[in-house]
This record gives sequence, structure tokens and C-alpha cells, in this order.
Amino acid sequence: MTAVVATPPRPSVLRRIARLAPYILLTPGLLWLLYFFIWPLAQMTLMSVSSGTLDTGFHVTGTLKSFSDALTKFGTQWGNSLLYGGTSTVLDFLIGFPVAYTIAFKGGRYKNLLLFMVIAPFFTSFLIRTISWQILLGDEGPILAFLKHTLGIVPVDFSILYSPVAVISGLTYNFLPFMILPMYVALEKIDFRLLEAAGDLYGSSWQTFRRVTFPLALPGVFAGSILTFIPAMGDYVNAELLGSPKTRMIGNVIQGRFLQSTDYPSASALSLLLMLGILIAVGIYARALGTEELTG
Amino acid sequence: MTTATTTYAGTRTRTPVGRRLGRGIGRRLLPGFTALAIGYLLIPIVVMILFSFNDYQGKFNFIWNGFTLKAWEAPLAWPGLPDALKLSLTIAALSTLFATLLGTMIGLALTRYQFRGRGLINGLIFLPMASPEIVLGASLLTLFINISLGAGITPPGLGFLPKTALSLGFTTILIAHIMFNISYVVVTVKARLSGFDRRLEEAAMDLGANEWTTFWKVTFPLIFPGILAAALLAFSLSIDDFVITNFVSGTSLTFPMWVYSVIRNALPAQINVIGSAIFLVAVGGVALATLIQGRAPRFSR
Amino acid sequence: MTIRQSETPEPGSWDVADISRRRFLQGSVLVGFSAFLAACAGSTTPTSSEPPASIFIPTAPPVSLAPSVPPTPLPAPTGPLKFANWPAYIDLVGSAGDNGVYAKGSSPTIEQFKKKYNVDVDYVEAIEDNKTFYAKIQAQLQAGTPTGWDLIVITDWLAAKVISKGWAEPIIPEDVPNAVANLVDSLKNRPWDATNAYHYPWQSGMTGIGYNKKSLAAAGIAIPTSLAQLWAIKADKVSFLTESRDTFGLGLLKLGKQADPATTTTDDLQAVHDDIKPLVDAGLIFADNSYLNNFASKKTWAAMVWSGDLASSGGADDIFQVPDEGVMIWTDNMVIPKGAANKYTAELMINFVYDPVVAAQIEDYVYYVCPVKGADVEIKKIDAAAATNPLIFPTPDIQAKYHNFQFLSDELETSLDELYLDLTGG
Repeated sequence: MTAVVATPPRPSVLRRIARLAPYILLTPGLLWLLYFFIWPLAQMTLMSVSSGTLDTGFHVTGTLKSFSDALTKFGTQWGNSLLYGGTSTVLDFLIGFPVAYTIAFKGGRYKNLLLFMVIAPFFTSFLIRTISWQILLGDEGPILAFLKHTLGIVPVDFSILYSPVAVISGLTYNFLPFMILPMYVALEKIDFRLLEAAGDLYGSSWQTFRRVTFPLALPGVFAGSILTFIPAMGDYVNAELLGSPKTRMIGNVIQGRFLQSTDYPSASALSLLLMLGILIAVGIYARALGTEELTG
Repeated sequence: MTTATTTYAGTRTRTPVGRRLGRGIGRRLLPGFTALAIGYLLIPIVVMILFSFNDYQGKFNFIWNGFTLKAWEAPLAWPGLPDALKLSLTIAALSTLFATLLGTMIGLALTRYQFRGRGLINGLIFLPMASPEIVLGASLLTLFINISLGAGITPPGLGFLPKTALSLGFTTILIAHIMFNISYVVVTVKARLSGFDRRLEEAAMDLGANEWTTFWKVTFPLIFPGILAAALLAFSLSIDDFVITNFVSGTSLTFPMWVYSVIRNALPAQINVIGSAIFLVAVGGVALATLIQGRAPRFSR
Repeated sequence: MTIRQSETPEPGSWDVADISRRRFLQGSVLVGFSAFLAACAGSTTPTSSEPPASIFIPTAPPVSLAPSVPPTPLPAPTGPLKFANWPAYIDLVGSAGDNGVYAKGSSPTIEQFKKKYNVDVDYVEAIEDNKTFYAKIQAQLQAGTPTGWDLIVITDWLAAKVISKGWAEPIIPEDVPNAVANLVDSLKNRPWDATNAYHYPWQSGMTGIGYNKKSLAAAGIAIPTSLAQLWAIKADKVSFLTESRDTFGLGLLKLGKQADPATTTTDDLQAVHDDIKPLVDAGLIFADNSYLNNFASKKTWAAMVWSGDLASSGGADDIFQVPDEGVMIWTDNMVIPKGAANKYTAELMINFVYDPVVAAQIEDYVYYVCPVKGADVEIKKIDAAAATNPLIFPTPDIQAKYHNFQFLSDELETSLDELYLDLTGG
């Protein structure tokens, strides 16, 4: 465990401190993560194998009932999470890739401005953005009111809010910038001489795209998809604000069990399974795409 | 996310290949599609700003009813709003400060020193970002509740705190925000440091500067834009967080939580005003950061 | 100190020795008295929301013989008073009729209280429904740490539960003379806290149907006067309540069953669940006060609502309807949670809102059933129409339709929780 200081040695009183430097630098932050990230997860693991209620107190009994419940009782909600998370990730990719491509290769002097507009949603509260969507998509909002009353092509009792479509749109909207940015970074890095060579070799721009550009963009696609899929899969706010009981996702169940019915053991089990599931999915995905490079 | 505030001074688009690629589907379709997509991203923001000027009737700012500056003239005129905003700003400022400090230290250690266990540490940094927010919030709630009930196993040292020290409220929100911000700071700072030219430091030391002077005169100015970007990111993540805060806030209301509670029986235009103001400040901040970054000494990759 | 005592507006200066003796006597009397009242509660409560005396009602612990914190005589109010209440449940100044004296969205009552006692109040609309709020404070109460709130407003069943567990601070009668004098008779002698040692009612209310008449007319739907008609409206334009006792209570009435904790069975609840499930599949949502938002955005055309909300916070076309099958009746109660930092200020607040003038002012906004004697006289002075409003003063016809589904056996409660969770998707 000795630190090898990369700096070329130079006689100095500070050298001893310098040897310890990495540990001094690391300790406070890592302790914080240990105490308030790892420890809570450990507590949660203990909670997931406990039984009891808040009234009687929770006792670690080693029971796996919470896990079996979590896997068997919430099929619909797991399904919704996968379906909505997956669909919005795919939609984000389909929308995001052309955008990232266009900005990277055709942005010209507007590149920074375009990028800025892509990340602009980050600068507003997502709750307020969702309220804006509620205004826009409202049953008597500008879009539907126009279709219903001005054009009369949509029945008056038609609505978008509180449907699966609304939830998927909300998720797609919220995570689109997370998809675009990493893909943009990957595309932007591509050496143009490679593309020129490929252009000479294949002749067609489609071939160039398929054989050179896209493969080189894969790390970005990977990073973008996991940055979209992970939060979308675990989200509950979109389903809460834009959905109905039918569109509950697993995040809603966890939230409800923790914050309403105080069934901490089963909520803990669900949380751990969600996290585990996501990590496994990311692992498989990483292997499939043949890249281990993550965002950092 | 981490690239959000980094500039890309790209000027390489007008190459033969770029032009050739542009000829196909790209010429009309791609720019049009991009414009549509960006419009889609911006619509809610436009609605937010527009409706901050709405002269709405009753308590619900849903339907456009004419232009007014009323809400902008009294941006805090709704009970609970000033307190919530104050709490959010305080938490955001403090968590940004601590997370930037702790995260930058980790970032420095990871890029400048060789030591064992790097993989483990990298994993520890990555994991909070890969965890759904709801899991972070829920696990912290489990910890805090266990501590207050005297159940579970209290982390070493925390047992000495009085029972109420970690009862849900300001402290627990701050703890949570520092926690989820650290990783983002580390990643952002690392990205800046990875392109750092160590020869600059060596040169400084050859000229007789010690490590301390070198750090403050050479290293810090070079990585400062990265730290600033990290701080901005941390601040915006903190001020907007709802999911994790919702779990650990107890009786305290941050701005997002206040919005969430007030929209049950009112939709005051003040929400839009504050939202628009935060947006404008953030835009200004990024513009400033970009400017500073542009002026900072360049380093080679 | 002595000068201060005589200066404060509150009546009754006393010395410590006197009060502790008085309280001692009072306490021992109360124990017997409350047991007596609990035994004959069924017969002493004619009109109100009182359920039939049944074994499910938790009872209050005896008032502590030696008060845990002997209050110094007439302490100065401390603040800020942390007051948790439900949305749209106090006189909030809206944009209409905004005279500039009070800020939009603020409450004249709260502002007057702050001024009178020179103390700050954090009035927060923090309660969405009883269960969610209880989940937020239960762990602290259990651990014996402060909840952060000084005054909370919770419905009968939860108030009874909190009080029976010893998680409420006793309310000293001498601190709340208005409340002692002005609580309406029908809400006295409630079996779970017969002497009001731990609670005073905030408002009573009904749960029935709310609808927007314009939206319904535009869609060619008749106004729903019965629950059966509410069930028949296109489900994704309807919301039921997250307060499961209300939703299942009305569900029982809709099926022609009695909503009565003494006779209802788990099979009955299951039948209600099965009756509502198809609506959920067709897009029904469950709302708390957020139905106000949905009415405003025209998302919801008709819903299960609490009686006063649409009148206070809805639009001109939003109307409350007493269903043919009956309404649910309940009372929300002010309780001071154990460990409250500003207990005395909380008592001052209880006393303040039991002043008939203040009560009338609140009533004229919230349109709920007022628990304060004399408010009916006062409200005539500020709003003659309100004095005959059946929302505030329900007619005997309406009272005949009252059903109380508050105090459930453990078996019913467990079943209700499970069935409700299943309907709402976990």
C-alpha cells in the first residue's frame, strides 16, 4: 500500500506529506460515501431480510419472504418499468442519434449554441417542466383543445394525460439530453481522416456510416443508453404525475411502501432487486457492445 | 452530463467528407429533424417563461388570459415560497461547497497518484451514479430511521451524536445532497485533469517552486475551469433534486418539494417566475463559465 | 415575571402549587369519567359523526397525573409554530377579491394570529392523506423524538390511534378557554378522547361527489346524483380518493351495503375492490386534494371529493353533490404531537380558532362543517348566504345520510390496506 509519487523527486520538506497525499486527498470523500452510500445500502440489505412492522419494530430474521414477494407480486410493475424504461431509451436513441450526428458534423459555428439548447432543460426544475407538459397535453390544453373544438377531429373525452403514452413521453423527454450528449462526444472525437479514407474505400456515404462512423460512436451510444435507461427504469415521478394506477412502475411501489405503508422490508427488497437488475443489465449490455468504457 | 459545460470549439465540419455525407439524406432531413427535436426540448421552457407573464384568474395558472408583469413584480408572494427557496439555495450552496471540495480531492488523487485499490475506488465513485435515485433516497431513509429508533447497526462514530442530530430535516438533506454530488464532481474534475500536461508542473519546479507554490500557481489555475464546471453541475443537481430529498426531508420543504405540495390546490405564476429566474441565472452562469474556460490557459490532450 | 403575567391577555393567573393540585384532582376525575362516557357514548351523541360504540375504537390514555412538563404559569408564546394542515383548509386569500391587505395565497387567520401573539407561524399544507402523513411522523413518535410539527390536523381514526399510543401532548383546558366553551355538543364526549384532553376538532366534512357541470354538459352526460352514476362516467375522466376509508366507504354504499365498521366484512371490502377494479383498468385515478388541480385543468369531470373544497378552491362550475346512497362523515382534529417544541403556542392557536369570529372567517372560505358554537351567528355578519349554506350547516335531510367508516378492526384495516394497494398498483 505504498504510494508511488509520480512527481520526479526533488528535495523538499514536503516530500513525506506528498507520499501520504493521495490518502489524505481520498479519505474525507470516500468516508462520506462509505457512511452515506455503502452503509445505508448495507442497512437496507439487513432490512430486506427483516420482519415486523414499524409498530412492532423490525427484527433481522433472515427471512427471504420480502424477496419472494418482490419477485412474484409485482409482475405488472416490473413489466411496466422494463417496458417504459426500454421504450423511452430506444425512442431517445432514435431521436438523439440524428441530433448528435447533425450537431457533431453539421453544427458548424452553431455547434455550441445547439449543444446549449440540448442541455437547456437541465437548467429548469424538472417538476416545472412536467407542469408545462401538463399544461400542453391537458385535456383542454392548447393541443387537444385545438383538435377537439377547432378541428373537431378528436372526441371530447379523449385524453393523453394519465396514460402509458404520457408516461413514456415524460420519460423520453426527461432523459433525451442524457442520450444526446455522450453520443455527441463520441462522434465529435472521430478523426476526419478516417472518414475520408473510408469514403475513398467504400464510396458510399451509407457504407461509411455503417462501417466506420457508427462503430466509432458505439461507446457514446452505450453511455447514452445507460444514462437514460438507469434513471428511466427507476423513475417514479413521471408515472406519478403523468400516469394512473395502471401505469405504476416499480419505483412507485418502492416509494409507496417506504413513504405510505411503511413496509420497509419489502420496499428494501424491491430496491435491492432493482439495483441488482440494473447492474446486471448494464453488465450484459457492456459485454454485448464490447465496450467497458463508461462515462468517466 | 459531464460534458455539459465543456466547450467544443469544433471547426472541422467543412471537409470533403462532411460535404459528401451532407449530400444524402443529411442535407434537408437531418437539420430539419434536429430543429424539431430541439424544439421538443425547449417547448416546456418556453411555456414556463410564457406563463410567468400570464394574467391568470383564480388560483390556477392553466389557461392563457393575457399579459401581465404582476407575478414578476411579486416573485415571492406566496406563503412558504420564500422559506423553501432560502432552504434550497442554502442546501445547494453548502452541498456544492463540500461536494466540490471532497470530489476535487478525490479527482486529484485518482489522476495524479498511483496506488493500489484504484479499481475499487473508481467503482465506489461510479456506483452512486449508476443507482436509481429512489434507491439512494430509500437507503438513506433506512439508515436515518434505524439510527433514530436505535435499530440496525449505527456506523462507527455516529452513535456518539445525540439521538436527534440526524432526525430528518436540514442536516439529512445536506448529507444526502453532498453524497450524490461527490461522484459527479469527481468525474467532471477527472475529465479535465486527464488532459493535464504534467510537464508544466515539472517546469515550475525546475524553476525552483515547491509543491505548494506549484499547485497554487500552476496546477490550480489549469484545473479551475473543471472545478467550476463541477460546482455548477453540483449546484444544479442539488437545487433540482426532488426524489432523494422527498425521502429524507422530514418537515423541511425545499423549492421542488414546495412546488410539489402547492400544485395540489393552486398553480401560482410565482412557480413559473422562480423557474424562469433560475433558468436565466443558470444560463448566465454557464455563459460566464464558458468565457472563463475560453480564457484559461490551453492544455494539450 | 409577575408583571408579565398580569399583562398577558390570557385569563387565569395562578400559582404553581394551585395548578398542580387542580390538575391532580382533575386527572383522577377524568379517568373515571372518560371510562363512563366511553361506555355510553352511543347514546350521548345524537346527530354527529359519532360511530356506534364498538370495540374497534382506541381509547385515550388517562391524563397524566403528574404532568411531564409542569408549565410555568402563562409562558410567552414561542415560535415558529409548525402547523401541518391539509390543502385548501384555511381562509387562503385567492386572486379574486384580493384587497391588498394580505398577500395572495396567505391566510388572514394566520396573519392575525401572528400579529396578536407576536409569534411566527409556519403553516404548511403538508398533509395529503392520513396514511402518508402518518408514515412521515410515525418513526419519530415511536423513537420518542420530536416530529418537527407543533400542531397537526388528522382524521378521527388516526387521531384516536395517535392519542391511544400516548403520542399526543395533553391540552391544558385553562390554555384553551374558547375551545372548552365553544366546542359544539355533538362533537363532545367522543369515546376515544371523551374529555378533549388531547384533541379539538378542526372541521367536520362529508365525502361525496364533485363534478364540473360545464364539462359534463359539453359531453352530454347527466349530472351524477348517485354513486352508480359516478361509476358510469368514462373512468379516465373520474378520480376517487387516496383516503382509502372514503373510497371504500362510498364503494360500500354504491353496492347497497352498509358502510358500518360493526357489520362490514372483509368480503364486503373485496366486493368493493372487484367493483372498482374495472374502472382502474379503464384509467381511473386516485387523487388527494390534487383533484382540485385536475378539475382546474379539466382533466377530471367528476370525482369523489371532500365537501368544502370545490366551493372554496374550485371554479364556478365545480359543484358538490350529496349522493343518493349517502355520504361519508368525518371530523379532522387538531392534535399536538408528543415532543412539540412550541406546545403552548399550539394551544394558543387552538384557542384562537375557537373564537367564533375567527371560526366564521375560516368557515366563510373553507365551506366545511364548523365545530365552533356561535360561528353561525358570526358568519351572518360577514356573509349572509353562507349562513344557510348546507355545506357549512348540513340540513337534517343530509344528516340523515351520514355514514361513518372510521374505526375499523385490525382485520378490516389490514384487508382494506391490501385491497387499496392492489387497486393503486402497489
